[in-house]
Amino acid sequence: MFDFAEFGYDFATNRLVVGGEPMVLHCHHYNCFLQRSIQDAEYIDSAPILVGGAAEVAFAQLTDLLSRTADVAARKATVEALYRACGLGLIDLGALTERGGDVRTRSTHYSIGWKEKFGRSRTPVDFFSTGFLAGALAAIYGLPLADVQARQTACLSTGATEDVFVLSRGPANFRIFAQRQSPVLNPVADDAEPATSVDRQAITRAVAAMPLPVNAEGLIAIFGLYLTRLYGNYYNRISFAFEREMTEAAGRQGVEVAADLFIEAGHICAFNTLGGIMTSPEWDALVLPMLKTREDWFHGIFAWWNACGYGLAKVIEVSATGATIRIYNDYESVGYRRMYGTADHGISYLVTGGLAGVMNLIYLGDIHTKPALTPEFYDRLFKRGRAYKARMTTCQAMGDPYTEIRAELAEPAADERRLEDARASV
Amino acid sequence: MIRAAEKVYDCLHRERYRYTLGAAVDERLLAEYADTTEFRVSVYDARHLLPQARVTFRIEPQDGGFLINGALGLDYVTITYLRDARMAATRAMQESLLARLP
Repeated sequence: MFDFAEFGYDFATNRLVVGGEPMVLHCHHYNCFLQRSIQDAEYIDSAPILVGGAAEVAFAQLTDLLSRTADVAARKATVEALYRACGLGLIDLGALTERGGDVRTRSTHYSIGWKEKFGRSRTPVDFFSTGFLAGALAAIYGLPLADVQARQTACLSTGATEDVFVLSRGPANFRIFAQRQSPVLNPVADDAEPATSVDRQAITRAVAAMPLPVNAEGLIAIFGLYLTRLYGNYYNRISFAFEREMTEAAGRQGVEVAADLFIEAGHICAFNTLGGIMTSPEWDALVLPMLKTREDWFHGIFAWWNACGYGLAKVIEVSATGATIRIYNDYESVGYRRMYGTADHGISYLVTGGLAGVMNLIYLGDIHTKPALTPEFYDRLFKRGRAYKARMTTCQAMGDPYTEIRAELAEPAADERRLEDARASV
Repeated sequence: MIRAAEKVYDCLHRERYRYTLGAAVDERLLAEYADTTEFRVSVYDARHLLPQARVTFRIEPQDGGFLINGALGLDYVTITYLRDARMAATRAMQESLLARLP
């Protein structure tokens, strides 16, 4: 009914576009941490942003995908299959009508992942599915998105036995964002990369073709975590809308606070997802035979990264003292320009945090020894003592031809805060 | 033969072990799970792209009680067990099976 394999991975740009929406891989650690970071700013009404961001991308994609059939049952089946293929869980849309209805499920990525990561929540947490279902209802029945309402009334993360989503008609109870512009991609230059015995392109091609196993609960349990293939422009919308609200509230300081949070989310992504990959049997089977040095490990993991839909990353330089990577068409930049035009500051937060995270894992964390990727290890690598810190030196969202990130070893700042280990507060 | 069993940190509601075996994993392990009514075995072979690569596999029972990850030629497998009432019995059964291998 729905299979990502039918949509070819574009190796010229390292993107996977499905129904006009670029799809990227992220784990429950990143997904839940990013959401919580946004929710924790209590002076910003984040729920309409989180739900509206999901509704926007789901509606756009499904309007495209469902145009192939007018049959409502077939449309519902496609949506259910897409949701499952994304690793989002299981949904049954059988009870939905044009007027709305309830969707009940015992398995959603966000509800289960949140509880695994943060423990029990006091309130429902699956804003993504709420928005996704709003977009789905509108797309299935050809309704304006602005004429659909959605809310979550029960959530597994609170200890409930199921998630319940209630869909109805009426003025949208979430943010409706301005129409996005068409995506603009920059040409990829023939940059020189350091010589290595690692066959980077073959790794990218092999990993992009590797099936992601979806279990009976509709979840992708792999690398010791729950993985999803989600909408790059969901992450973009919720991040950049939040950043703009922060800017309205606190001026330039708002941007800096948001940037710190999003770069931290990138650290978490690298530590858990990329760390999980580098300690997996899949890594040992596909990549390890080519690796001799720590620099090889760096080339290997960025070759894998290139299969995740984030854009095309090139290694410009890497050694124990630092690393530079150049990314063409990173999904954050491409998405930002579609939504808000040219940026006045760098916004490629994921890869900034991701690069520092990779350097910390390889050069300080000895990832080749397969350490346990515990919260304590994260704390030691990122919050205490010397650590690699990364910064954007160019950003495609600002009009540069590519995004470039430089990571260097830095001494700890005296006032560094720990963000990762606090239990849920929402 | 199991040479070592090491509990590996898993952030999900599961327990994961890494079993170092007495010999490299070969087809005999997959043959133990050949009954498709009981097990789902998925194999990924990328050697046409990466000649040095090994063939990876995942083995899951239909009830999802455990998950075996590994690759032919590696000397270890990881097994992740769902934390439920059957976990101890499931683990004993899988370890017994691994112990019978060379």
